[in-house]
Amino acid sequence: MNDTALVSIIVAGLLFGTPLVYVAMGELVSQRSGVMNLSLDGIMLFSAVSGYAVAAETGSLWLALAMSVLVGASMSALFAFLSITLRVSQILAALGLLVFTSGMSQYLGRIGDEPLIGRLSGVSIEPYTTGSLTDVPLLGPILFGHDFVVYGSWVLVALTHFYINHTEPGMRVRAVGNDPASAEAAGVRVARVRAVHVIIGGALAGFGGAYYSLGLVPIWQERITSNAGWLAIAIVLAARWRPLAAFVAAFVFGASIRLGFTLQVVGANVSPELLSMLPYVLAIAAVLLTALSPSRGLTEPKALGIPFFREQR
Amino acid sequence: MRRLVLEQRATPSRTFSLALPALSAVGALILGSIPLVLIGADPIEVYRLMLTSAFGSTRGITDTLTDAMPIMLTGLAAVVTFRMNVWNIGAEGQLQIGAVTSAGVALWLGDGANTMFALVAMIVAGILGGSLYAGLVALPAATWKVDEVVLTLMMNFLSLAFINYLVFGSHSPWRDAFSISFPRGQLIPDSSRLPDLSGRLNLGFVITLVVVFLVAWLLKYTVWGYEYSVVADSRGAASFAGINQWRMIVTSFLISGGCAGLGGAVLVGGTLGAMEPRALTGLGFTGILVAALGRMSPTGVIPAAIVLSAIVSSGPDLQQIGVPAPLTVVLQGLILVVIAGGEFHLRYRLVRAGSPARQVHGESAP
Repeated sequence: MNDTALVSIIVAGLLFGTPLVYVAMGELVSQRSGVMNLSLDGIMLFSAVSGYAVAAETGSLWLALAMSVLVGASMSALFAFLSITLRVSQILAALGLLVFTSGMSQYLGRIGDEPLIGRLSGVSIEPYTTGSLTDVPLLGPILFGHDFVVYGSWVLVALTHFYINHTEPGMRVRAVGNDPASAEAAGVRVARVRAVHVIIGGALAGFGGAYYSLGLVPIWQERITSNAGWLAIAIVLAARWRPLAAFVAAFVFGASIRLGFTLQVVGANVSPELLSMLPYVLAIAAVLLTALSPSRGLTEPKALGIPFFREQR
Repeated sequence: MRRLVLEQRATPSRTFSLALPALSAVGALILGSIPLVLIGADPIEVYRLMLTSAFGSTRGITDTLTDAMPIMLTGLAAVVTFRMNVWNIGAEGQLQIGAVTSAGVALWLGDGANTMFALVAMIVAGILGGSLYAGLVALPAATWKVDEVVLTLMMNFLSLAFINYLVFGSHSPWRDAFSISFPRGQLIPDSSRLPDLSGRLNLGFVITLVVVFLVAWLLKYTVWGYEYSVVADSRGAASFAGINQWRMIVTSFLISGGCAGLGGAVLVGGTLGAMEPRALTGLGFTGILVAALGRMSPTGVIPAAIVLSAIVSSGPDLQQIGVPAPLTVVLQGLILVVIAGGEFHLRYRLVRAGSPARQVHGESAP
């Protein structure tokens, strides 16, 4: 394999890993507070189509991004209401919302005189032009010439890491995810902390979804996220809920999603169907390996998936 | 005015428990009218069309029952693990692998085989295929407590890529060798096809019902079912009673996968006649809805699957009057959301803070 192929694989990993970083950080903060949100893939799709619709109608990128974030936040607020206020099984509530939001994404894409499918929005997130910096061998194309979403994802990971591990609100999140009863006894409002982080998680997923229809692709097509929301859940589990590890995993998965395309460009002849298995094989391997590692319990939110009943302490 | 607080009911409200599935279906239809109004369609007219196309004629009824078969089985697959708080989300993949193995055996036996033998072999192959595929997740999940939700989900994507590879990406025996530009599955020989009962409805429906009642019997009247219910109620109590939880998790996974695999076999041996990847998607997820709508009861999946089948298969009719087919997906999601929300009323009620305790069997929230 020559240098160009290697660089293009790395760059593909960066680009296609970027939305994974956003949705994985969203899932991570939600799970750290004890709530597993399985609906993020649907939420991303709903956000992606909503943002695209706003972009196509108004021509404004910022309104479009705001719409995507709003849809992500409000759908996850609905999930928070079901799973935290009403204490419904997190898995069933999330799957219901997942089916609803992905159904809506397809429905909205097909209605109207000029359906969004096959219609150009004319709006997309543009990369920064950095002149000759991108011509630097190897590091140039890897570090420079990306858009603000890519650079923003790097900042987001640093912030999430700092927030979870080194701030007092972050400590409360971990407490709520590990032992909600003790946290409540210590004066932490469990339900509020959980709801806030589920909603932040949904907003991040919404932004990640928007990056597909407004940045990476940038058209509307059904199932545009190619299962990013699902991979994010595997990433968080394989990274044992650690932001920096999830960051690395997101780029490996991003590269693996794109590997088929990259290999075709350099002329390798491998079945695309078999190559499409790669991210999932990687996910299964990573989840199994980390589950067997001796340090597996250290960062795990022990109350993950369990609704909290204050009355039942 | 005193603050309202939640109080857990001592026993779930019985009347509401029986009415919940019907109420949530109605609730979902009401909410589902919003996207319809958005495009200027009349919700009443749309729902009437769905009802008449599903149940308005003999043909409609047999079609609805036929399409209910696979989701009844994936629903049963969900029930068998969900009741124990084990989350096999992989019925989708187990059904697909069941379709691969059953079609594989039917194609391998070929034309000359005895019909009775070929049918049994095809069905058993489907069950075993789904069962083994579920077993791949059951072992790490039961042994090392690896999250089964994530594993079964990833296995779904693997099996989807695999069945696509068999028909679209290779020259496997599952692919019709004469379909060059539009690849499709190789038809299995007639000796392995399930005989028709009426219209498209075939013998698979009878097999499906037998399996549903068999699983209901297993859960209710056998030692295995008793141990299952102990594990389902309390893992702690099960350990104390010396019940081998590893064995319970693995067996429930194997039975669950077997049900889903049978779903693949009845599709291949029935309406499809081939391992046809395009017709084998989404059935596992709909099964989860069937399980929830059937209130996690093994026999409850029968009416639940018929209702959902009516919704799912109305897509083409909706398209004809200008309503995009994904509306059926929206409705399915809404049903699950509403029914999940309704569960809350079964278990809690609102009372004023500080008021004396109400009678235990209160039926309605004040």
